[in-house]
Amino acid sequence: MAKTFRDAVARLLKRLKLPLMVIAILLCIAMIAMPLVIRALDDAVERGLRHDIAWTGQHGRSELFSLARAVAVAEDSFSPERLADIELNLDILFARLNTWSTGAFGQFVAGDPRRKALLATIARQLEDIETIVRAPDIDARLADLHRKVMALELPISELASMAYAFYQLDRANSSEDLRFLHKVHFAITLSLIAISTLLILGLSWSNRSLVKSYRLQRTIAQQNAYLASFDMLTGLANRKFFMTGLEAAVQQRREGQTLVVVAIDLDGFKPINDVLGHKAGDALLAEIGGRLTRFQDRQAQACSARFGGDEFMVLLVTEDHLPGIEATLAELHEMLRAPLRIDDHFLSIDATLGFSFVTEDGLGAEELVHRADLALTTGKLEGKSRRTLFDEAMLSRTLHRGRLEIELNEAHLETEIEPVYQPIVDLPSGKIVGVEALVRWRHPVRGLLPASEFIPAAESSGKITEIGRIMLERACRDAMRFPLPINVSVNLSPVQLMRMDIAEGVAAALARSGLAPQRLKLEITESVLMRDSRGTEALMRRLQAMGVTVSLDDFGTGYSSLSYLRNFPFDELKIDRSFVSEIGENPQAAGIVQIILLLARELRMSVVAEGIEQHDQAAMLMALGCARAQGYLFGRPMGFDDLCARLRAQNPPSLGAVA
Amino acid sequence: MTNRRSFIGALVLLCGLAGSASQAVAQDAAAGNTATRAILTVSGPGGFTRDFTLPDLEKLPKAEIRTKTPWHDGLQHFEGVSLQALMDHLQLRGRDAQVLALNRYRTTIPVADFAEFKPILAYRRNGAPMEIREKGPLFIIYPYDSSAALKNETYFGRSAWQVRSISVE
Repeated sequence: MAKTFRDAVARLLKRLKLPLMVIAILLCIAMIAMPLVIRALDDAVERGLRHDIAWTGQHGRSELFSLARAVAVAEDSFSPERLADIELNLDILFARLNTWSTGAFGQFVAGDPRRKALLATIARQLEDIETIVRAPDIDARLADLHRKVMALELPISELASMAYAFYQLDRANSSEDLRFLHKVHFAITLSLIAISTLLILGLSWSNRSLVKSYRLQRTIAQQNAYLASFDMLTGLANRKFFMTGLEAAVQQRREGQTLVVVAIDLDGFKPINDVLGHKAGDALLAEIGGRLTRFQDRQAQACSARFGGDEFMVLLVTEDHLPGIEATLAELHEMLRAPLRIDDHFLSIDATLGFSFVTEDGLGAEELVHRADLALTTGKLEGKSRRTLFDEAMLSRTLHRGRLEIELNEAHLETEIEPVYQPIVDLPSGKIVGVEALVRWRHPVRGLLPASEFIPAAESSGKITEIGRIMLERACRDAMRFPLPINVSVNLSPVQLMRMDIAEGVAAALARSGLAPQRLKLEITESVLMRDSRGTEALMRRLQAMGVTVSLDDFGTGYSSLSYLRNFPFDELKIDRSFVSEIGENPQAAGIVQIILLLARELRMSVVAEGIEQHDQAAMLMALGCARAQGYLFGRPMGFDDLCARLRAQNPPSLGAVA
Repeated sequence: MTNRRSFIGALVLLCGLAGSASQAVAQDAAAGNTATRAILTVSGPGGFTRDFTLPDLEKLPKAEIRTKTPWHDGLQHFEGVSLQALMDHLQLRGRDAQVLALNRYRTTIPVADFAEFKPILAYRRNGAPMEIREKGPLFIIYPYDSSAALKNETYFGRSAWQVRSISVE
């Protein structure tokens, strides 16, 4: 950005180079010329006032006439007084000659040989005249003297004329010089004024264009800084900017101040994005950005950022204690979960918040964010749409998961992973007609671990695929050894379904165990359908072509779009436990179950109700026409041996199987 | 210019009249005795007249000017009496001083010049008395080199040589 400014200056200078050089040269000329002109002007003025040599020339003539007159008077009647008068006038003429030989007139004479010759003639003739004046017989030579004096008139007049002409020429020259110098002076002054005006104009122009380019580069810099620090979609800060701000906040935290870091994840963003498209998803994120901005503006000190996807982070700097903080976060939560309209869709959105805070030194920015994230993850696992405060146990849980991942990697899964079976019964009779295989890890140290304990670690470590394969094979093998030929249901995880060789895996498990495909049910959840509907449909058809049954697990939760039932060829629906638990007290729940049952019948699907714990629930379901059920009431998940014992007790082999 | 023209007019007039003053001067000059001969006559209002010999002038406080002039080559050293001192000595007051020279040159000097520029009535040039042929015996000299204002025809014109009389009006 500094570079842009420098470039602008360089461009400007380049464009101005020639005019500036011309101006500089003109100024130099003016600077040198001005004193010279002023001096020449002074000289010319002085010359105009100089001693008038013409005058002294003219005066010589009148002095000559005075001498001539004195001679004439003496010629008329000679006397010593009249001789003295002649001598005085001769002296005066000699003084004039003297004047003509030195000083300014002397210089004029020296300037031309003709003038020198003329002056020499005058001097010689004057000396002649003096000889006569000094002669003893002067009274007899007065006529000769008169003639000689008059003869002087010609050279003196000539010299005087020359001096006059020279003087006039000099004056004319000097006044012409003066006029010329005045013109030059005027021109220089005028050009100086013009240059100054040009410079002032140029300066203001260049100033303006510099200011313009400075403004432009500042705008660009601001835009760049904005792009580097902000998320364009939501207008919130980005992760980098947030972390920088958080680090500064941690460093500058004052006594009594609490820094609260809130990690936010939108519940149900993904389905909206998938179903309504990315445009709607973006609009939703922008709306959430706006809500966070409004929230942030209401706080004394807060900053919110989008960390990516539908994850947001908020920093609050407050002097409140925990109850106050929780109230503020409740307010934030309310703002976030307000319904919104995007295009023509009214959407309900919710959010899960996890937060951590620091009231004393010791925790860095990264740690605070990590803790808020942990609290968020925990909150999501515990059922979303809640605000969870970080506690130290979460750290050990994470450590626990990390350790589990390592242990899973080192475990001998083939022997340690084992299924347990929960009965699925026929409702009127209560007889076991099938089992759902549920995964357990027989941990060498900690004993039998439920799925919730190690599945997240298995998912994050990638072991989930192997576990899925083992479960499938073990369930098929076990089913072959059941005392009754009941069905066995195996869950397919989304991760397994993403692998295109799942059909081959199923075929291999069936072949190796020898189990009839009709006895194997594969349970998949709705989330799988939303991800890759075309691939899933093709897979389902392949499995069904092999003779395997496919059932939709947890039906009734999530979106439960009826289009799934139309588009995917399910053989069975499993009604989610949440409907069953309410069926006794909530007529709506009963109504929904009834509709699902009717629907399934029309679509030729069988139905299993999950989570039956009480007799009246069973009775109600029976009354609604539900034929199959699963739940604690009919049996908890049990090991292979226990199941075999149950099956043997229920139905002695001699009486034959119940289909 | 106007001054000069009127001066030429006056000169023609003088030439025609061939006044007796010049004859008296000629007689004095012929007498040749510079010590006793009056070389300067100063006159003032109310018929005041006073003659000065060279020693008379030399008795008055001496003033010096070193300057170049348009009539000499090189720097000149003039000694004489300050015109202001002469006025003070004679207790003369007036506006203009009419100066008449042996060569009938006549010029008018404002009395104010005496105090302002301090011109002198020089009787010595470079240590020696001045002959008539050297524009002596008395020469009004301004300190031309001391000011550019003095280096012009106005002051050169007031610098009469062969001064014979000064009349204060």
